[in-house]
Amino acid sequence: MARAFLPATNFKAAHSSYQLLPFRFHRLDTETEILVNECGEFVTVPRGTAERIAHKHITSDQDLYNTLKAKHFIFDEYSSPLLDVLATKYRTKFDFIRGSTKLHIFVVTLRCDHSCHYCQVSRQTANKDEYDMSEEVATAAVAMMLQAPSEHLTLELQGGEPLLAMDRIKYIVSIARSGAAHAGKELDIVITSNLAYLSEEILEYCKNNQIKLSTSLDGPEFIHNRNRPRPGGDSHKLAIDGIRRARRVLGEDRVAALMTTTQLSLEHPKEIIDEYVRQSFHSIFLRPISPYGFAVKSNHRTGYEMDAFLQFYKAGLDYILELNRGGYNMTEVYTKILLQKILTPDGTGYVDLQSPAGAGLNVLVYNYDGGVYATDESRMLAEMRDETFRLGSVSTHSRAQLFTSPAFIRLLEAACNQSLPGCSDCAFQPYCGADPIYHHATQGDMIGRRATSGFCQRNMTVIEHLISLLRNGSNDVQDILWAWATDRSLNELRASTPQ
Amino acid sequence: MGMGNGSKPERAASEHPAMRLHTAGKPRGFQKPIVARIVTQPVPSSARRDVALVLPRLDPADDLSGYAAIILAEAAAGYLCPTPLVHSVRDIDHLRPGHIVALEPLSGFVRTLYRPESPHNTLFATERCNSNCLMCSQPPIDTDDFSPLMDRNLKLIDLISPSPDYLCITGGEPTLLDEGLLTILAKLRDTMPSTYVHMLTNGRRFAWADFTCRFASVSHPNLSVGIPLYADHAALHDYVVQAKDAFDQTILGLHQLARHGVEIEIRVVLHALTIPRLSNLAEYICRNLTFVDHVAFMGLEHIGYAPRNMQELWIDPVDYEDELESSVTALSRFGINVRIYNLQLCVLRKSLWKYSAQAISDWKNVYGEVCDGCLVRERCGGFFQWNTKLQSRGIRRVLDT
Amino acid sequence: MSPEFDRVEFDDEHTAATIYVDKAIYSTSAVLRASYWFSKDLYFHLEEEKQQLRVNVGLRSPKATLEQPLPKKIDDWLPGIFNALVDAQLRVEIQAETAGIRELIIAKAFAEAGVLEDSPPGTFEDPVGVRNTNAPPLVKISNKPPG
Repeated sequence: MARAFLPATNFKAAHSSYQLLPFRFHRLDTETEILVNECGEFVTVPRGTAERIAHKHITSDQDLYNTLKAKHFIFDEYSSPLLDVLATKYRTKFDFIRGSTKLHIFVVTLRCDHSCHYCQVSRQTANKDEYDMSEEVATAAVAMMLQAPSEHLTLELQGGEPLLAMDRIKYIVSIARSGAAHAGKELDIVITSNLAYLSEEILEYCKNNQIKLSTSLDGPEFIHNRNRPRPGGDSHKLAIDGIRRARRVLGEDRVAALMTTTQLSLEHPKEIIDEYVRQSFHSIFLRPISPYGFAVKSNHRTGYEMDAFLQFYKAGLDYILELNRGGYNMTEVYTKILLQKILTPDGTGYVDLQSPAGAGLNVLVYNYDGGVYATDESRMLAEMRDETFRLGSVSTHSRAQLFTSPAFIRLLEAACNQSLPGCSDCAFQPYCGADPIYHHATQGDMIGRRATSGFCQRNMTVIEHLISLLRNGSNDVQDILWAWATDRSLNELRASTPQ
Repeated sequence: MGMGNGSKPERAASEHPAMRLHTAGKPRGFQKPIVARIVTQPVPSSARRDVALVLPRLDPADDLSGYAAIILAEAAAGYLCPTPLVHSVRDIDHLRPGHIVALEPLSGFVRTLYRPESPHNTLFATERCNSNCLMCSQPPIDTDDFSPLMDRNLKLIDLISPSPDYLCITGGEPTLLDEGLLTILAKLRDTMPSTYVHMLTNGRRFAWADFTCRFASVSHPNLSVGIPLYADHAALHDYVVQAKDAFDQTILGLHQLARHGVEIEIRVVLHALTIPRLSNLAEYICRNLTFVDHVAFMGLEHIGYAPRNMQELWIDPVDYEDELESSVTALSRFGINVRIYNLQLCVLRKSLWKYSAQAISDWKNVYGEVCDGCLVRERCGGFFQWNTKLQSRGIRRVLDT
Repeated sequence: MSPEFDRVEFDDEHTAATIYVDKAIYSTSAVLRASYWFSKDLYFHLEEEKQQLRVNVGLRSPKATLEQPLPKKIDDWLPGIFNALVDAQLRVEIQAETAGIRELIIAKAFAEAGVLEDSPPGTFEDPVGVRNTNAPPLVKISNKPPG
C-alpha cells in the first residue's frame, strides 16, 4: 500500500524565526544593497533589506527567505545550516595558503642599460662585483627556495636587467632544476627582461631550459620610449623585436608583457591597448601608477592619481570588452582575478589581493646581496633605505627564521583584512586583500587608513564596477566576463552555452 | 513475496512486442527462483548449466535434462522430466538467445533481466526506498526483498556475457542494501571492470562518512552515481521527496562522495514544483557542488506516482523554456556540463538541442504519428509510452532546422 | 528605521556641527566605525555623556582651495553621516549575533579532516526495518558510529 503524501507544511519550520549566518553589506546606490556572506557569495537586494533581515522581519513565505537560506545568509530550525559545507567553501577560498611560498624572485643584478622613470633600483655601472648576486648568495637562495613546502614553485629572475648577468642565471637555473627534481617539485622559470640584450644564443638557452620571458611594453612607441629612456632612445623597437624573436624560438605563449603606468599612460588607454593588440598579446594588466616613488607622495596626490587611474581603467576595460565582442580575445588581468574571487569558489594566487597578505607567505624576494624581502616592493623600499620589510638574509637566516623575524611578525599583524579597521566591516572583504607594504609606503602605517587608502579606493571602485557589469551588462559582456573568470576563450564558452 | 505491483513498466511494454520484458506461465518443479540464460535451440548437455530452453511445444523426443529450466508456450501434458518448467507461457517471441531471465516458483513470472543487444540494462537492487518522491517512476514497496534480490543479482552478474558497455543500478534505493551493495560493486569490478556502472541513488546514505569510505574503497574503476536534487533549499526539496532531512543528507552525501573522487551526476526532474526556482538551483549547484561531473535535466515521466500528483506537477515544457534556458546558461557559463533528457526536440528551444541526449531507454521509446516526416526524428528520444497520454501542446514535426 | 537625533547644533559658518547620539540606540563602536570612513574630509571628536554621545564633526578643509573651490557645508554631509551611523549600528548587531558561528566555520575550515565535523542530521532508516520488526538484522542499517 502506498504511503500517504505529506503536505508542504510538514517540511518547514513551525515558526517563522530564523538565525543569522555571518554576512556583511554595502550600499551600491540609493536603491540597492549588496549582501556578501563569509564565503563571498552575494545577493543584491533593495535598500533596507539588510536591516529587515537582521531584525528578523523576513517571513518564511517569501521567496527571499528561501534565497537567503540557499545562499547561507540565514538558517532556521527546520534544516541544518550545513556549517561543514560552509567550512569546505571557506577552506577552498584560502587554499592559496597551502604550500607557503610559491613565487621566488631572484634579483640577479642591479645593473641595467635603461633608466626608466619609475624604476627605483637600477645602477648604471659595469662593475659586476658590486651589484651582482654572488655564487654563494645564489646557492643559499636556491636552497632556501627549495625548502618551501609547495610542490610547485615559480622562479622569477629579475634585475636591473638580468640578461646582463647570464653566467649567474645559468648557474641558478642549473642548480634550481636539479634541486627541484631531487625534491620532487615542479619548477617554472621566467626571466623578466627589457629584451635589449636578447641574443639568439640566450634564446636558445631559454628554449632548452624551458624558460619563459616576461617583458615591459608600456604602449606605443611615443609612450613606451618616454617612460623608458635608454641610450639610443630605441627601447620600444628593441622590445618589439625581442618579443617577435622570442616567440619564434620559444613559442607564442611563452612571452608575456606587462605595462607600467605613468601620467602619460593614463591619458591614452586605447592607444596602449591597441599596441597590445598590434603585438598579438591576449592579456593586459591595467595597473595604477606605482606609489613606490623616490618622492614621498602626499595623500591627496595619491588620491588624485587613483581617480585618474580609475577613469583610465574603466575606459580601458570598456574598450577591451568591445574588442572581445569584435572577435579579438583579450583579457584584463586584474579584472579576471577579481572575477575569479567573486564568481568562483577559488581564492587567488595573486599576492596583492590575498588575505592573509601574500607578502612572505606566498612570495619572497632574494636580493643580489642576499637580503630576503617580503615582496618586490619591499625591496624597492630598501633602495630608499627603508628596511622595514627585510625579513633576513640567506647568509644568516634559515627559512623558518624568516617567518619568526620581527619584520615578519609586524607584517602579520597587518596582513589579514578580516581584522583591519574598515576592512573588517566591508562587504567586499572576501574579494579584496591586504597590502601592508602599500600602506606603509603611502601612509606610513602598515595597517593603513581606509578612508584615504588608494588600495581601498581602487578595489572598492573596481569591484562595484564589476558587480554593476554582472548585474546589468549585456549578454555579450556577461559571456566575456565569465570566460575570463573560468579561464576559457570566448569561443570555448559560447560552444558550451546555449546559443 | 511480491516483486512489485502497480503500474509497472512491463505492463505498458506489453503493447510493444519487441520491448516486452515480462511474461508469465505456470511454474512446476522448482521452489527457488531461477536465473538463467535463454537459448531457443537445444544445446549439448555440457552447455546446459544455467541455460533455459524456450520451446513453442514439447516433442517427446526432446532430451530436456540438464537445463536450468524449460520455458514452454503450450500447456504441458504428461511432462515427467525433473527439469524445472514454466508452461502455458503467454508470450515467448521476445525471448532471444543471450537474454537472461528470472523465473518465479510461485507466480510463474518470467522476467527479462538482461538483453545483450540493449544499451540500457539495469540491475534492480530493491523495491524499498527511504524517500517517497511525488513523481517517483518506480514507487517504493516496503517489502523485505534483500535476500532474493541479492541472490538474483549476484547470479545475474555471473551470467552476463559478454561484458556490456554500460550497466545501471537502480531501485528503490540501492544504498539500503548496505554491505550487499558493496558486494555487488566488488563483483562487478572483478568480473567486468570495463563496464561503466551508473548507480541511481538519492545519495542520503553517503552523508555518513564511514559508509562513503567503505563505498569508495571498493575502488570500482568505472563508476558514477546519479543523484537527484530538486531545490536550492531544504523545505522544497524535502517536500518533493517527501522526507525530512533529505536535502541536508543529500548535500552532505555529495560532499563526502566528492572527497573520494566519485563521479557524480545531479539529476533534476522538471515539473511545476522545481521550475520556479530552477535558476536558483543552478546557481546553488555552481556554488556548492562545483565538483559534479554534469547536471541532467529530465522531462517528467507520466508513470508511477506522477499521474496521482499531476495536478501539482504538470507544467507544459513549452511554458518553462525560459527557466530552463537560463538555468542551462548559468551552469554552462560556470563550466558545469549539462544534459537534457526525456524532452522531445520539438518542445525544446533550438539553443538547447545540443544538450539533448537520447536517454529514454529503448524499451520505453515510441514515436507518434506526428513524428512522421520530422526532420530531427533520428536525433530525438521520442516519447515515453505512458507520456502519450499527457502531451505538450508543442509536440509537432520539426520542418526547419 | 529612521535615525533619531535629539538635535544638531551648527557653528556660525556651518563648517562644524554637534550631533547628539542616543546611547540606547547606537553603540560607541558603531559611532566610531561610522566616523572612520569620513576621516579624509571630516574630523570627529566624541565625548561621552550620561545618555548620549556628543559627536563634534567638522570639515577638515573649511576654506576654499584650488582642489576644492566650493567646500561642502557640514549640512551636506549630515545625511551621509546619519546613514553611516545606522549602517554601522546594524553591522555591530549582525557581527555580535554571528561571531560565534563565524569562529566555528573558520575552526572547521582549518581543522583536520573529520575532527570538527558534525554528524548528519536525522537518521538513515530502512523503511522495512522500521516497520517490520521481524526482519533479519542484515536488512537494518545502523546509524550508530562505526567500531
